[in-house]
Amino acid sequence: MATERILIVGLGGLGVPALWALARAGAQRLTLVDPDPVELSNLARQVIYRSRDSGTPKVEAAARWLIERFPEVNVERHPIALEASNAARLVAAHDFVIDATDSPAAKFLINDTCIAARTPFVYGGVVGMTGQAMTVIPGETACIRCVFETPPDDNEIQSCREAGIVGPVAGAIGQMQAAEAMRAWRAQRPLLSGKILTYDASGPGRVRIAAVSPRRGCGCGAWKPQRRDARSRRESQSPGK
Amino acid sequence: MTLTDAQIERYSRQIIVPRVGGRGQERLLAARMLLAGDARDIEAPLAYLVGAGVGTIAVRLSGDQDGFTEKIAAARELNAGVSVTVGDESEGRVDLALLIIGSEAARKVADEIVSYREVRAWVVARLDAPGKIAVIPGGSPSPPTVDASMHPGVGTRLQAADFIAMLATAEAFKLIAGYAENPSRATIEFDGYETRVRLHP
Repeated sequence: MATERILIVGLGGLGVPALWALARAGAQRLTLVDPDPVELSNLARQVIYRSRDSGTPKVEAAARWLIERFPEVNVERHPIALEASNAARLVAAHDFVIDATDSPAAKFLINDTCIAARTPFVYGGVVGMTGQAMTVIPGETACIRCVFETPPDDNEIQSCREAGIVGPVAGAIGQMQAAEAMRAWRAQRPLLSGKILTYDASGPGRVRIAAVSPRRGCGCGAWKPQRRDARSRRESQSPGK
Repeated sequence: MTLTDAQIERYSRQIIVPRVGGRGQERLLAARMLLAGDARDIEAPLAYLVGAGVGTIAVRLSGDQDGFTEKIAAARELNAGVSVTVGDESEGRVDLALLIIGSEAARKVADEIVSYREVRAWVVARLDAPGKIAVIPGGSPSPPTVDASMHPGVGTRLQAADFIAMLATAEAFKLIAGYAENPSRATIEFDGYETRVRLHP
């Protein structure tokens, strides 16, 4: 378990609770990727950064916090954006990926890179009072393209900059993403493999988990022709049918 | 209370959430709350409440408190605009109590708080099976009359315990910020990670 290499892409509202939960659970090898510096508007929900971290790259501030609190954690830092030019190399060096980004383009890049590398990952997203998480086991369970097919246009996207975000809602989804990584490293099947969790806090907190089927024609390779069960086979073979 | 430019910038992402707004942020900053539970269960909720700008937070610890002094200091460092005190003052207004019950020691402390404290609103989370969150807005009966919270004995801790604590923190945030115009008294029950919500008249 301690040797599992986990890549966290994005150190914002999702990545912060995910890395905190992973460190608490005993993860020892974390790689942090984020190109941005800490800003004042991050502090209300990204609750490891302090005012004095403003302007510091998030990977540096997060690594410093981790090392202070969890000195046994080995932290690798990449103050860069995940891009097509570096994604394959970064993903290949890890056993599990946490998608804590807030951009659809980055989410599809993580999806495609992890599918190609056959590296499991957990998707997460939060806007306003709602959040989602879903784990993808490449070749076995539905991927992001099975669900959304293509990235939305820029004008269809509501980011947290426009729709807002509430810290504990992001915290719950980030913790859930960490829990999925922990299940994977304990050789348990992640709870959300082939399933999507939705959390709606706009009323009394509602959490739902729904199955997601692989999409025929998606290039991820998870869709398999359904085997008919014995009963339907018998029915189709019986006279008069 | 009028928000300063620095406060508007700092809390901008939650201020723009519909039904939170500047008024909700002002309520958060003016609020006095009580947070109780075991150190391991309240560490993350405390950080999120401090981050959100809940003005005054009194922390009542139960169970093993080893190393929590440093964690309280770390929470204070997150936001100089928030006051975090350890121990419950016996006087003064409390707008909301968030009681996180993850052990027998935490249940005893919660029972004690319920028995003597005048609190306007409550959120009570049970982290043992079956997980429950009781949401009790101002003007409702106090927790002992709500089935979710105070039955004796704390059983097996749920795998989703940290997740439930965070959902309870979100419910506390909404009540303090005045997110719902007429919030319902509700019990949120957990079946694994899924929830079933019961609204009480």
